[in-house]
Amino acid sequence: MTSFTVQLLMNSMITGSVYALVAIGFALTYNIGGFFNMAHGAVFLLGAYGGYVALHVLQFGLPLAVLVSAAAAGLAGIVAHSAVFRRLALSEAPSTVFFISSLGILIAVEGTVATGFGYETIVFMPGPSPSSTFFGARVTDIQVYILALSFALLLALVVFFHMTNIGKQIRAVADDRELAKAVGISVNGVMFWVFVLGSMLAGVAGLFVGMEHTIRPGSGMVAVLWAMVASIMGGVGSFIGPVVGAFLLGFIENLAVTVFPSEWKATVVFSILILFFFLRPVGLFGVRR
Amino acid sequence: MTDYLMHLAIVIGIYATLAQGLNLLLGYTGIISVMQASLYGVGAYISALMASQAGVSFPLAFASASIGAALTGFIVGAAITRLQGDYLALVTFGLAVIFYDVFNNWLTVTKGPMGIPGIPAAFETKEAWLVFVAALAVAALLLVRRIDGSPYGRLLRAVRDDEILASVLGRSTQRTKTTVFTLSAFLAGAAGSVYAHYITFIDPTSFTAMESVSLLTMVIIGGMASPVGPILGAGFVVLVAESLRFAGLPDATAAPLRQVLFGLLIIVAMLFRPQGLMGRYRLSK
Amino acid sequence: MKLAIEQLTRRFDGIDALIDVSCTVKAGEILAIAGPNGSGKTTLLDIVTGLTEADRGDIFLGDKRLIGKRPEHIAALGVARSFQIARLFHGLTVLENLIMADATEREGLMSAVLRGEGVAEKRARERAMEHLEYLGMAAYRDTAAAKLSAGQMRRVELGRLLMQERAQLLLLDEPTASLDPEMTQIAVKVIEGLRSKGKAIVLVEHNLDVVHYIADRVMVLDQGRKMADGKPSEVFQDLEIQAIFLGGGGNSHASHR
Ligand SMILES: Nc1ncnc2c1ncn2[C@@H]1O[C@H](COP(=O)(O)OP(=O)(O)OP(=O)(O)O)[C@@H](O)[C@H]1O
Ligand SMILES: [Mg+2]
Repeated sequence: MTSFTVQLLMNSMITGSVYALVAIGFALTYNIGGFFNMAHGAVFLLGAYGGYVALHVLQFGLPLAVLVSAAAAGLAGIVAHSAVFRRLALSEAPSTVFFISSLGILIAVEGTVATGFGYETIVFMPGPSPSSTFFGARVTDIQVYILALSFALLLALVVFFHMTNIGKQIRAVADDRELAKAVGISVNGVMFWVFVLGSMLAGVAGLFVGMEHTIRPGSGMVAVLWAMVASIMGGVGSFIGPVVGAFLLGFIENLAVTVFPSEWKATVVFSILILFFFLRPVGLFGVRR
Repeated sequence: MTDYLMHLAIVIGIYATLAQGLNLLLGYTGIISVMQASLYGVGAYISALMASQAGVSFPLAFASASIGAALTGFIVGAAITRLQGDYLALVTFGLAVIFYDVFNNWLTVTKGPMGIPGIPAAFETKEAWLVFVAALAVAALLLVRRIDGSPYGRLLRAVRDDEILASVLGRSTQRTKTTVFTLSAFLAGAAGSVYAHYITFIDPTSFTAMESVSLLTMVIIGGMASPVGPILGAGFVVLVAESLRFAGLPDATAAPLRQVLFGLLIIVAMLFRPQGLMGRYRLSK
Repeated sequence: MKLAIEQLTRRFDGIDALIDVSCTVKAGEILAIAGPNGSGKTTLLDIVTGLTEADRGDIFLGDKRLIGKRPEHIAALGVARSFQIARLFHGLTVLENLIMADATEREGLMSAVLRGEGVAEKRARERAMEHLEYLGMAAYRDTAAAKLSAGQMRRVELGRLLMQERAQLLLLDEPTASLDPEMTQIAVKVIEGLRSKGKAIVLVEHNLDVVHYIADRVMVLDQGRKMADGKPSEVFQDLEIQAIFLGGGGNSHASHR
């Protein structure tokens, strides 16, 4: 392998692992709640800015900042669930109403963050991070940290889904809602945990994106759109799908910037999404009529 | 002071026209589109470029912008309206990002973030502008009212309620949705042209997905599937935004606060009054 | 026009909804389809109307092939249907729901802009009112469909079928469900009237009295298989067929409703 290939794969892994953290919660909410949750971008933002405050205002170390991000986002997820989505679910609102409400949450949070920090881009890690070379590819220490922690989290999630009671319940509901209800699983209770966990993962991802790149209030919407592309490419319906989609997206994105000018990155990604819709109008996971 | 009030009325008129198009989509047909501001941008750029680069007169630029945006809407609509409900909404999100990228990065044509300054104003006085914009908004209102009472309007509402039943009764839902997409793009293009020639400067920041969300707010607050709803919604949203400035807040604080407010308004509307102020229709399955 | 269904087969993840089912219906004939829950009756109608794809088999209306066509094209060839759970445009009024069943050509955007109320629209409204009066629903003409009871929705669906004068093939999915005896009689009369106009009718029906009374032939489905096809009086003589309807015995399987 040439060092170019190694570098490309390395970068794709890093990008993909962060996207996976965002995509999992987004896909689970769709699976179980039946709606596309734009508010997932809001918890991402709160995680990112929470982490920023922890690092730069409170002067915490990185491990503590990760916890702060997860906590901020997890709390926000709980609030969004109990104040808005649970009520909508109780009144049996259609998915359109969920979708528009989640959009409302996203822009309200975006505005809140902008009130505090302005619309400017903020940099979490000024100055170059120390780096090492790995088969000819340059990897910064931060990237190693991000990669290791993301994979640890993904692994922990697998364990959670298979070993814990709540994890098994989540899988059961996602698999067959009616059957799960019939055996006495509370869908609303499961939804609560989906919001907590999905939001925490997205929050940590927010911090990672801030450390690796930059953050601005608009990043929340970008993150949720990326999660959506990953989920749809991989298949919202399965557990592994969004993760696979996230790594695929990371690869496409890193490949795209070597071919196209980087400011067209979003255009490339969304063109691929739309192409996907053309080839499979109901998405990869669509059911045949 | 009267100048300022007239300015507000003109801005409300432009937004009302724009929201009227979105009302046809969201209120009547049940299509959530987050790219209405992109089509507005297409109209604004076409008009601005024709007038400032080629010296075309306003009436011609205005007509070209409306038709150009309608054509764009037609192509997009034909491509994406086979998708259902929330998937359609997601794709319009993606398209909004793509259109923004084009406005922002196609430097040779749009000048990117620098924007296009010095667009010739169509009218000399605020009074003339006000008359023109009011006429436009009223024309849009009459159009929607006429559609509302027509078999075409009934078809839109039927497609909104149950696409499968509509198809079993012989209607092509895709064709219906494409025509309404085209029509709403036409209105967006007209509004975009007026905006460009009124403000005399455009840049990509006016044509973001977030701007489209403001438009959604107008339609939702004003009331879906009500012809006067978008005018009330546009008035409400513009006046709320202005009153924040009146409260003495600097722009840097007012802008994000406005966003918070719109977000909360949307949430509250969805929780307590999904049919909006005037609406006869609440979103449902 | 004659409907011919040939060896229709459809499987839903592991469940055979239809296996090699063939049948025909002529103009002016009523074919009833009977069978326990989940035997594939609705699936058959869904495939004929283009809402569900078949795995295998073919369908002809006259000399036109229906398989592979979109629902709106099938409708345009003269196929109308009703649904097991009455299906209306819930945001439209009762009158509007009926008019939606009428011709489509005046729904253009241009005629809306140029004010195209016109004679056709007026005549459709008059026809719709006649049907509503016959069905005892005239008082509800301006009521939103969402506000109706199940029985009222059923009546509006019947009215919609009456509006579809051009349809040559009618597919009715349990049109008498949730109707009281009096309304059931009216429904039966409506269906007989449609037959006398020369339409081919497929009638999915749980009420075996209705089947005996009205159907020219009955096809019995069980677990996706065709078990019998013939005159109702003869078919229901068969002990095996009777067993299917008497709680199913050995043929029972998990009902999905
Ligand atoms: N979309 C679907 N996905 C999976 N299985 C389906 C689907 N539609 C129907 N089935 C299954 O196919 C079988 C036949 O269903 P169908 O609705 O045609 O039965 P039916 O005879 O109309 O029953 P009923 O009398 O209850 O209306 C059932 O087992 C049903 O569960
Ligand atoms: Mg059935």
